[in-house]
Amino acid sequence: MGKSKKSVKKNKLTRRGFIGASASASTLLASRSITAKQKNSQQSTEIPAPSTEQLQRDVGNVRPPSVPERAAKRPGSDLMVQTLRDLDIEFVASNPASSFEGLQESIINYGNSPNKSPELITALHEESAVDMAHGYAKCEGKPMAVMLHGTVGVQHASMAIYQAYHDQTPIIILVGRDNTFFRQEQTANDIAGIVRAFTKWDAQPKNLEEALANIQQAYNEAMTPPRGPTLVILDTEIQKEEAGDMSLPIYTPPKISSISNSQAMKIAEKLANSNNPRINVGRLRTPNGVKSVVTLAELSGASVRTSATNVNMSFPERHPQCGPGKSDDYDFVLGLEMDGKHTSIKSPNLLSNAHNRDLNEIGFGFIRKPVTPPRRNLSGENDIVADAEESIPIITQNLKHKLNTSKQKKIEKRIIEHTNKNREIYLNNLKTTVDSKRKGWNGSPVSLGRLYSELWRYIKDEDWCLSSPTVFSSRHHVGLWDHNKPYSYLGMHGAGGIGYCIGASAGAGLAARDRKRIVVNIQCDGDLNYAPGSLWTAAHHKLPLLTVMHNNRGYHQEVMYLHYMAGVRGRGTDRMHIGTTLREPFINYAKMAEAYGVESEGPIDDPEKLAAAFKRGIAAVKEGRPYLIDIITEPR
Amino acid sequence: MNALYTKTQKRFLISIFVVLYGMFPYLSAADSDTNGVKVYLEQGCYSCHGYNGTGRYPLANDVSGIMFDENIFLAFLRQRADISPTSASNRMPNYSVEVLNDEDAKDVYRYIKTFIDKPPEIDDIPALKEIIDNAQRSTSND
Repeated sequence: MGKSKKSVKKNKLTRRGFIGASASASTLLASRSITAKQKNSQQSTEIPAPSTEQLQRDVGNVRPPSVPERAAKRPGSDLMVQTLRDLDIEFVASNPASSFEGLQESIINYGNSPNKSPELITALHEESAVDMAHGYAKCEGKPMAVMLHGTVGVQHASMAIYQAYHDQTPIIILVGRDNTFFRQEQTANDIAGIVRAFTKWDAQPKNLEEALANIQQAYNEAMTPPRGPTLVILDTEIQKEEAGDMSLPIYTPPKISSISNSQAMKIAEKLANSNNPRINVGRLRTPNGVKSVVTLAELSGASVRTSATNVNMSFPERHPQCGPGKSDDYDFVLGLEMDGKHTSIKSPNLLSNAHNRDLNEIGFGFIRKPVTPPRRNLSGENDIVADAEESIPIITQNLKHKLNTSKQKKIEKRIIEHTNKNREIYLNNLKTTVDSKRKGWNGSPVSLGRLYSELWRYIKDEDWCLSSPTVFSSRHHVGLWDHNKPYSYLGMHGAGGIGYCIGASAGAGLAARDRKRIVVNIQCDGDLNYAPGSLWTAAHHKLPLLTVMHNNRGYHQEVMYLHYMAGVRGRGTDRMHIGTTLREPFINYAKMAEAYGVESEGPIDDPEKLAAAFKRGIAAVKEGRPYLIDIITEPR
Repeated sequence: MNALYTKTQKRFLISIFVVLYGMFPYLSAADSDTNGVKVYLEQGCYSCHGYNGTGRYPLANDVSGIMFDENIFLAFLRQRADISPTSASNRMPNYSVEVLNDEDAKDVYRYIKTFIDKPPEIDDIPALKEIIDNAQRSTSND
């Protein structure tokens, strides 16, 4: 045994021993080499003349050994990234795949400021990636990009694409296509065909030059009403090919249809000559559109009806002219992306795009005729199909020419009357609204009225965005919160597809992150379980996202539907929890968030604990740390 | 040997237990043994009226006309729509005597009558008082 131990010790290679052994080995090799050379020189009878190579080396003219050239010194995907950069695309969301590694490598490595504008955002599901782009576009009025993988990635993303299309939201979708890959089921001749019926436009370029032009066109098509997601299929070869000295195609911004100058002149005349004009504002395209309509309202002295509690990009809710105004005897009502009694300017709807997209005549509900029955008897005479946002500045210009001093004085007087009346109405309504929130104030589970009221206290002084649809939490923000920004409330899902909220909220978080804004997501429990991975994206990319769980432990709408059905059939009304509730076991969302790296607390069923939790949550998100508060709530 | 309960009865009792177990966080010990609360939860009344009668369609404080008396309440339960709707509906369901007998319905009625909502006044709720105060301040400063 003793011998064995000694032997082990002797052979043990310590750090010092390793260095020593290495040195000895080097010395041995060197000495052997010298010995061999000496032997060789001894064998030669005369010294050979230097070769050409030796002479070149001696005068310093040395060439390194030849190695295979890189596949591309200026890969095509670098130019694709530059194209996206020039289009001011801030983010590209993707779940990694084997058909766009060329493009992904360029996003994260190309240029002097790699991985910035666009920045690569890691999504844990393709549907989440598209939802993020959906939420982002609703905040900023412009697209971000998404990368999807072949047939399977596109299919994962398809429901989210469908919703974004129905919601007329611009998104640029870049689909990697590897036609030589061994997984033939992940490629197809026409991948875009999978989602063609619910995308605005697509292209499958044959070469790099075409690909770059197609990306530009994808942007333009996405941004031109009716807006929507667009696709460019990018073959792997095109991403990786050598671009050489190819330059980017010259970019021409989209031409968006507006009303004609003569139409604008007529509208301006009506606004100038009316005693009590009114403007109904729906959902415009961009924050600039919101600014334009404020200018028009202030110039015309019209009272304004807003849609800011239903959709993004509408008129600021607490603007002094927003409200019914001095009286409801409106003698001229102009609708901007909304019905107006006398004249409406509305963008073309999705039906106008269906004839060249729904080639298999699937006939999705929202593109079948009639699309949506008009809410009023449209004469058609004064209704104009054109983009309202593009038309507003032309109306404003014409109106300026029609206002003399006496008219301006009348308008100033009218604005004061509107302001006073709107204040009076607002304060009266507010008292009623606030009083209604007292209902069940101290009850447990937490009342949704209290949830929204307490939360408002902590966000009202911030630049905030309410990113989630609120129909399932009874819309308590309406009348209580002030929706004054283009992104104050982002509206509904698009097509009612569940699983949208956390992804869209992460997208809103991307828009907010570098703009000192915070995002509030009143998150339904059922919805979160579809694709909770966006919580991780929020943590990883440091998004200022506060998620407040409306945890009623069930798919509550369906509880009610099923109940009604059983009542009609006169049986089993006590079995409605089957298939509609999330019990046994309850889901712990605070722990779920924690697992994804999001700070969290809860479940909270004591309403007295809300205020402190919200305070902590807001403090965290202001520092770029997403936060989740799990609250056990009343069903509605 | 006669079993105390039939197989069907056992299954029924187990299912009641399972449902009540799920509802456990919302039940106080005192209420759990009343038939009214059991039926209120089993029949899903909570889904629209809230666990405390303060939901979207409140019942607390006798605000609903149907709670005027027991007979009106029963008549209301029995006379709901019984025609199969084309589209899903979240309206008040019909409760025929087959799914909810008179005794259980009366127990629910008595339980609902116990719902009292006495929230603090606005002046005593800082979150709400602030909203009113801020609005008045901002409009008077304009």
